Amino acid sequence: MRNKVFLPLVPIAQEIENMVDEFVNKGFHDVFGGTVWQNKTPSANISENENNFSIDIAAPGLEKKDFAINVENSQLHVSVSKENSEENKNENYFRKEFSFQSFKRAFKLPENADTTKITASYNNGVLNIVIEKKPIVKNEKTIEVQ
Amino acid sequence: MWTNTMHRNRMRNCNSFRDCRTDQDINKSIPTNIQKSKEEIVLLMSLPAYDRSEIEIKLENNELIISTNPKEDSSKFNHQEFKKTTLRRVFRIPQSVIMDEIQAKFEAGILKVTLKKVQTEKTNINII
Repeated sequence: MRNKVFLPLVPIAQEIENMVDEFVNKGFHDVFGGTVWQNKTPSANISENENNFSIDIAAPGLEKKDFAINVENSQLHVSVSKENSEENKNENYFRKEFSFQSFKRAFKLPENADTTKITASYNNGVLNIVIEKKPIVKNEKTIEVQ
Repeated sequence: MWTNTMHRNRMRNCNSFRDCRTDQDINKSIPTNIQKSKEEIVLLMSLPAYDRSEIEIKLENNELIISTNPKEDSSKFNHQEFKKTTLRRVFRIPQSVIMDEIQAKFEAGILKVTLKKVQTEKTNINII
């Protein structure tokens, strides 16, 4: 019996990513007793309602055009690669605690996600991706007794 | 390990343009990139999802205090990695900064604070 057919929308390789995040995001103490932070992979929040799935990715300091979003084999890929832009080369950093100039995140889409109906917007440094749900096609058939 | 020596060093460091955080504050801190040039110091603070109205910048004596006070948020998430909270970070401003010309701008989740420095002119004195 499998009543709950659809798995929730989840980030891929969560365990691996968390392991990396643990190290990368929480920072480590430098020799002077200060903390060096290295925020490089943006955090994501996922929510779901009757009609859609929604993913919020906190990646400040970017523009709409910097994001590449695509669907491949029922996986949603979000990436940004700006590392070699002119702007970056000229900046003289005294201290750097975060950078979202280059990252990749992937999410496994559930079966009921409609990959043809995905919209995205960028506001206050958060990329919001909305994926509509497909109506569930019931694979039911009544068989008459002859 | 947080030792007294380290703490003393940290407090000493505070006199230059460094932040005056103690270890406990770090989780409530705001990730910041600092750019320095001869003319100015630029602070770039990562505050995604915050609204302009939820951010406060104060200047007290020679300390720049940046804090957030987010509105109640009832959104529920199936999977949550970030959350808006009350954050605070304090920077001690060096004497070379012109206090009346501190500017702040909030765009795409980044708070940019520009601190202009006093330009000292070099004059050569000729020995007669």
